[in-house]
Amino acid sequence: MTSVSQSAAAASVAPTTRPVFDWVLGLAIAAVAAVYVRAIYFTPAEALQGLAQKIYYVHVAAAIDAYVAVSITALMSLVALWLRDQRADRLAESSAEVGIVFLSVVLTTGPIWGHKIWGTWWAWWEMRLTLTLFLWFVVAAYLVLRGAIEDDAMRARYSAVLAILGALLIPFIHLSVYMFAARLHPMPVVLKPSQPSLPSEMLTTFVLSVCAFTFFCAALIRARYRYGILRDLAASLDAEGNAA
Amino acid sequence: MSERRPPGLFCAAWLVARKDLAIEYRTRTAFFSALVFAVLALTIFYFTWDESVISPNDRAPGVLWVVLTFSALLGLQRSFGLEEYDRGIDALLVSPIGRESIYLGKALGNLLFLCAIQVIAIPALALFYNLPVGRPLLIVTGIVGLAMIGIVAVGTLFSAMAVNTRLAELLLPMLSLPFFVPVLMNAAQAATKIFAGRPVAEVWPWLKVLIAFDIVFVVACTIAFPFTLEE
Amino acid sequence: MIDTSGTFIAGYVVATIVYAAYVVSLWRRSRAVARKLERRAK
Repeated sequence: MTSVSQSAAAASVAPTTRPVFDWVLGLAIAAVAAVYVRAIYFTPAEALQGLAQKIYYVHVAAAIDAYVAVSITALMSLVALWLRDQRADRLAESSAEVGIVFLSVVLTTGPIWGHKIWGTWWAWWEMRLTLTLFLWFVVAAYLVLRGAIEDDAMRARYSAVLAILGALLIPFIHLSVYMFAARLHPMPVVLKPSQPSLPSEMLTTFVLSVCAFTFFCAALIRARYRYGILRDLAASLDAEGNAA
Repeated sequence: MSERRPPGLFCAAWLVARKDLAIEYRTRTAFFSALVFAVLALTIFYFTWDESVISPNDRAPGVLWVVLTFSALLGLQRSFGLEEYDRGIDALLVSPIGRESIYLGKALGNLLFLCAIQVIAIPALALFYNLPVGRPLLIVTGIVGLAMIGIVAVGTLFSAMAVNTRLAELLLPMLSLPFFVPVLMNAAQAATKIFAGRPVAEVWPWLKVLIAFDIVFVVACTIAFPFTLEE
Repeated sequence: MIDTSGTFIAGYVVATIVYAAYVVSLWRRSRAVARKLERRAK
């Protein structure tokens, strides 16, 4: 285990060579804050939905990034299973954790917005929201599964299997919810929260918000990945200490 | 038995299933606990709704699926749990049958276990909820059968995984229930329509999705199963 | 026009809380691990 001791020695000499929190994350947070300011103060309110529509800039960006993050998890899980690559597994894990954060934002801002628009807190016929809910459950199961396995190799294998099966599941849920919703509730035409007509100012804010939140999402995944490296290092040192 | 060659995929699966069912038959604890749960649930659900607001006939489909799901989980818990004792799984792995056969055998055993529960639960449902006995009930039983295949396919795989973790009793439902959702959504809607007297042709779209799910996940879980075993 | 200023503030606040909570959790966890690694170095 000389390579581990060497990296341990290196880490002990300079434990912060790859800091978890650095200027990239700070910049990303600043970008998000800037978008907040622009959305709140410098973008007009929408005609039909009023100020509530502004949640759109946070809600939709979060949804896009959540799906991207979760897709990264699925893809990296495939790589990790096929190539037995630990880094892919770590990236899958980081992406899943950040993904569930963004999914949570979608699931909290959705009902807050929807309550005003639809008159109910939850709408099962709102396909994207319902799909996001089930996706949240699958990612939560993924994270709990990872937490319940101590052996590294088994954890990587099992969570990869779950991620890949989960990826297979999503189209079925999408189709099932669609068939459920189409029967129950024709899509409301007048107030469609997802596609308000966007004059150029609002479109710009929207594009900026997607860019800023995506940057934030990437920065978070990067930070979480680095934390994962440190955590694994600490765990392997522990294991070494116990074995010695 | 003097067999020169190891048994083929499905023969081996049937042997594994037979073994599991034989063990279950000796003790019958899981069977009876699932049965007791089913019958209790049927009666409790009857009393929790105001009869004048929702007729028992309308409640029946919902109750059916709740009972199916949770008795399935009870059965699945024990599926790989019984290999824990004395590390029975090692004996299976050493024997000359493919890993896929182990999975298919376990799944088949679970399916037959569930069928045995439903053989009692569905008539009990018809009895307590005054359902018309006839072609609709028969069709719904078929739909239940299709749903059971999907439930058992994913449930068996996750049971194999959960049993190796620290939080086995939490993980099995947590892993399985999201996967049950498409099964239950489509089966429930189809069954409700059948109970309401609609023709089978009308529910065919839902059944197609259900069958597709069954095929996709039986294949996917069979392929995935070897990954859940130690190298 | 629906008057919904309360709604939109609530939405932004809730989203910010969720993100901030995660960043804080990540920060605390990395501090704990860094401390652990430093102790090992001694």
